[in-house]
Amino acid sequence: MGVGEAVCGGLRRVCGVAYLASRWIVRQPIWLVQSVAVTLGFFALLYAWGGRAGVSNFVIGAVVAGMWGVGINIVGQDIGWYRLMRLYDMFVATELTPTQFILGMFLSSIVFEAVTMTAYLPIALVFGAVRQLVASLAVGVAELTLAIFLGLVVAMRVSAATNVSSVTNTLSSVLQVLPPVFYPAHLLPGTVKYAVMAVPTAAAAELARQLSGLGASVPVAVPLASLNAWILSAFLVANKVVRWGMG
Amino acid sequence: MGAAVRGYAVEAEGLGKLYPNGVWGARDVNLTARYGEVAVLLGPNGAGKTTTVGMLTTLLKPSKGRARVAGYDVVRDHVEVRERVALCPQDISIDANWTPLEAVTGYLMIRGFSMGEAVNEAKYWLDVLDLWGVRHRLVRVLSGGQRKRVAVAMVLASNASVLFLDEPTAGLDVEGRYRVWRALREFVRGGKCVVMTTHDMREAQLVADQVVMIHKGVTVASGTPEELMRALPYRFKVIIKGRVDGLSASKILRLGDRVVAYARDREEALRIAGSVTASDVVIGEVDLEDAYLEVIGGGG
Repeated sequence: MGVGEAVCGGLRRVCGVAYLASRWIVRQPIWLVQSVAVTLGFFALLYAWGGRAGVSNFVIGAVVAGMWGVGINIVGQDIGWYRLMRLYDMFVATELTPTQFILGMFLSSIVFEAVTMTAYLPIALVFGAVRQLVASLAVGVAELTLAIFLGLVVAMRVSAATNVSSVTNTLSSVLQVLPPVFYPAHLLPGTVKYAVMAVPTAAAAELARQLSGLGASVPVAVPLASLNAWILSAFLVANKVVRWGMG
Repeated sequence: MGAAVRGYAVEAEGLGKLYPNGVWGARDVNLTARYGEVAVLLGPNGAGKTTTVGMLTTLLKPSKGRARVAGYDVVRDHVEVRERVALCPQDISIDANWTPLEAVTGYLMIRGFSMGEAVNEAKYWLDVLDLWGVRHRLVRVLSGGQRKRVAVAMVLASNASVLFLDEPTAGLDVEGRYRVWRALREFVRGGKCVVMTTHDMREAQLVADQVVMIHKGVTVASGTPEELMRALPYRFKVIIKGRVDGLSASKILRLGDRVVAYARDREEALRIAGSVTASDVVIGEVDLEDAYLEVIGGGG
């Protein structure tokens, strides 16, 4: 098999996974409506209380929270459900590699996030928050990678696949709304703002704020080190627990 | 994608799997299956059929023994094995948001088919399994039997050298079972191999070229259905409805108010039938179920 043929086959396999994994979005577009409505609600809330500065924080929060949700919730849940339905076993006994499988699941989830993004892209343009959008998207890629690894760990380690959703939903929503994601960390008192940087979504949002010139709550090395440590740890754990057959 | 060795499609020798909880899923499974054959792993629930399929399809790592599929070692060459097999797991559940056409097409893309090739293959096998008429309906509105056939269509369309189907007809109605059996026989006519599991003796007798009887994780007998039945010391059985005492036969199974008496030849069967006063007596030839019961020493 030539290199070209191997690459082509690999792409087809990734597309095959993405094709199947994205059917639910086509069949249940109401989830998109919900996602867009929540996004617009947060925009209204932050604009009402914070004006243009609120919108800048909204854009960062929306991207960081969105990427986190896609990685840990959608990817984790989908893989959990595939395990439960035995489709996972069916796919293992093929030429598909685990990397291609994860890429395919990721691609299908990105479709979901891309539609949600159509809600806050015009907002960023109208309210002059393009720098925040670009910065949070750049940080979001790293955060998404981490979230996918964590989602995988949950999907593989939770013994009852039906419980995956309860774990990923909680991890997703709590880390989206509780830490300083939609609000800046400098609002927190003294050492708390340092401690909270141990939370990956808070670290990602802080980095995006600093990159886009919204000011620093802690030295940039703190969120940077936190996010990198999370990615490395999650990668190592995922590498250990993800089983692609031969168990 | 030809096999490295065009010999046996599947060979397993002393295959066993010890699960982390200390339970042996399979202890000593021995089997061979050739290309152009349907091999049936036959045994009751918990016999080790699914564990065996898991090891042969590289989902599980054997704890003992060795196995080759399509000429490749299932442990050392698991990547090559995966390129040549397709698996329809037991209790497979097709995503309710897929249509049959999407399910088969998507699975074939995962196998490296282009979208065009995948749709063409899907058309053929959905038609064979009588699903073409519902190809655009969501799986969630299909019957249980149709859903099962969608899963079978997915693996048949893959054109893999060796198909593994774990109880593919469980829960299907008579017509659905016959459609699947017809499709499997058609598939092996193309020189491929099918390994399927069942605990339905009649299904094994009808569809198998080779039967491998597994009991408590061990292969207890194997051969063609005819060979396994010929190995029995009886040729006929007399089924008597009603309680019978003082019956003389080579072997007698008592099932409450039914009695099954085995006979070595037709004369003995007629003698047994003539010796009882019960009104409902049926004489028939022995079948695979009788062979199975004989091998495992079961039946009461």
